[in-house]
Amino acid sequence: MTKTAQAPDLTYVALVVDAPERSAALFETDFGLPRTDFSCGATTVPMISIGASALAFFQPGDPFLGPDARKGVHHVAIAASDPAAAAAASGLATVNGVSKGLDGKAQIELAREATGGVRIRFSEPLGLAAASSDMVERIDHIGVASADNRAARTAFIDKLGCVYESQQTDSEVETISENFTSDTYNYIFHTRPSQLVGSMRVTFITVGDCELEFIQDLTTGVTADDARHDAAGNTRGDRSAIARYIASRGAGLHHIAFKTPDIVGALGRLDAAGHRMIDLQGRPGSRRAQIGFIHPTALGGVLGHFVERQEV
Amino acid sequence: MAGYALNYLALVARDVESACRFLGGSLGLQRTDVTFEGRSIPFFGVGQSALAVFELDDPYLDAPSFPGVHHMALGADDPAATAARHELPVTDEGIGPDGKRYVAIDKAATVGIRTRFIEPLEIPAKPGPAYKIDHLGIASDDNDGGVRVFVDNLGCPLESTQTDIEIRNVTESFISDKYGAVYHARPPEILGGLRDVFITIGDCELEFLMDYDPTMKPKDRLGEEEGNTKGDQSAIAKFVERRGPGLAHLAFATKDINAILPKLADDGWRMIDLVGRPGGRGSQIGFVHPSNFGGGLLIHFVQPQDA
Repeated sequence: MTKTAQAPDLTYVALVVDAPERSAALFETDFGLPRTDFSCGATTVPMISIGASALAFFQPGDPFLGPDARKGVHHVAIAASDPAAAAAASGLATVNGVSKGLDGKAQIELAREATGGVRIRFSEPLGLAAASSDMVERIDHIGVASADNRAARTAFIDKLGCVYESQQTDSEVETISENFTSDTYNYIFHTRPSQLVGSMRVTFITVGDCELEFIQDLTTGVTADDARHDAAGNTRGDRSAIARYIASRGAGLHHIAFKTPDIVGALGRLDAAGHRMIDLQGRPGSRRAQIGFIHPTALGGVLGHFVERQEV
Repeated sequence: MAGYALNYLALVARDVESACRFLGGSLGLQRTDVTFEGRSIPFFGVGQSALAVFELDDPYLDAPSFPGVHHMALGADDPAATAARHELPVTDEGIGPDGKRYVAIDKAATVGIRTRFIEPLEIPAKPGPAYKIDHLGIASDDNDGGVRVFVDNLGCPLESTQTDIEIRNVTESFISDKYGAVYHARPPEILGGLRDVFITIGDCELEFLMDYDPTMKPKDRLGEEEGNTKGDQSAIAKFVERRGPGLAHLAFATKDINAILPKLADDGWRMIDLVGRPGGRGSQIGFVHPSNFGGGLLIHFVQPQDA
């Protein structure tokens, strides 16, 4: 009997930002996505519906998040009508047992080291309607700084039942040539052996209506410290960013990407609204996409980018 | 012959004995000890000129004196009249090695190259693996000025000019099992470059090496690696920044670069290259490490295109 591939649904993605109200307002106003507020203990958590999932905004250090909650993508909540049973079925280690989550829904947290550093919770569904706007269709992917994509495949596909989407290898090769052009002697041209200056393996695993993008640095011989001056925006720079992230925070959730039908339009609209941007034009990204980054300060400390691509 | 010929090149070594062992022993150059004011200066005949090796504090050398290439002496039967004819200001004159009359030219008038005219010394030379001086390398910040002095004024032939450029090309590939392969290449980026001018002085050339980009100041080039055009550019920039433009290195011509380099290593000299790599004028070149002879004297070998 063939098993039908059915990725578990995503309930929400938790983002830790400077000011939840301000970030929620940006998604509501500039992205045009609906907002719903949820109670979480004594605080109110603004939630933005996006595609079949949602973004939940928290302040740094919110006790709901556990110790040392820093700005960035904090955790991913997978939908389960019975979180404890789902966790048990995965066979992955849990921490703290079942507790009350958003709106008092049951939730349980998986041990981070069991999921390649990605903080995963099972949570009862929140019952939000799907939503999209002319600017954003859904989450495209959630980027993970990964130390071991093979282990991630085991945890997310074999244990959690997520669906393998694709894998790619990104490489940047540098070739240096010298030429000596004389007015008298022969033209001399020579090329030194090409060098691999950056390489990453990127594995996409579907969860809900988007993918987890596990990015593993394959480059050898470059320490995180050596790479600190590498510029962003290319394979060498990206691999360096992943290496530095892992060196400082460990493997785990790294960024979030939003799928847009018009990358230049999306980048331009945020820029026109006064938000700080890294890119105003798309550039080549994974999965034949054009991608463009929003500056983390505009998203309250979360690294985010847009993705425009055709479905294959 | 047009212009003037190199009669001898004055080298300064911290360890004169070691430099003499290199020149006389390993290269087999014929040594002639020339008496001069009660001391003896070792000269080594090479091709139609010679190398003289001086102690750092030799009173014949005008300050400041560094280990390396100190000055070049061009042959002229009447040194003072020659300087006057070319309207070159003289800073010193007297009787040099072997009782020869000489004048020293103000280096400000010769784009930083310490130049003397001297009644020619006759230093015998014998055949060997270093069959002549190929060129004297000059850290230059004004190649046009060098042409005006040595070609327009002194009448030396302009041998050739050359531009060396080092370029980085980067290709990125994204190869997916579902989305196919995407390749893209970024525009080539110039990492460094040099403009070279070769001017003939007798049986060798002056090689002026100048940054290809006149908008770059030498200090912008500091701290780059060596062993390629970018590194050479950086080395030239460092030299100019530290000492001003002037004589920077000595290159010997050899018939077989891949024989001489390992031979010198076998003799115990510290080498940068053990095989030839592409150099100027279609040649192959290989460097001796400047830490030899007490440090500071940069020598390389050249197998010319037609050798």
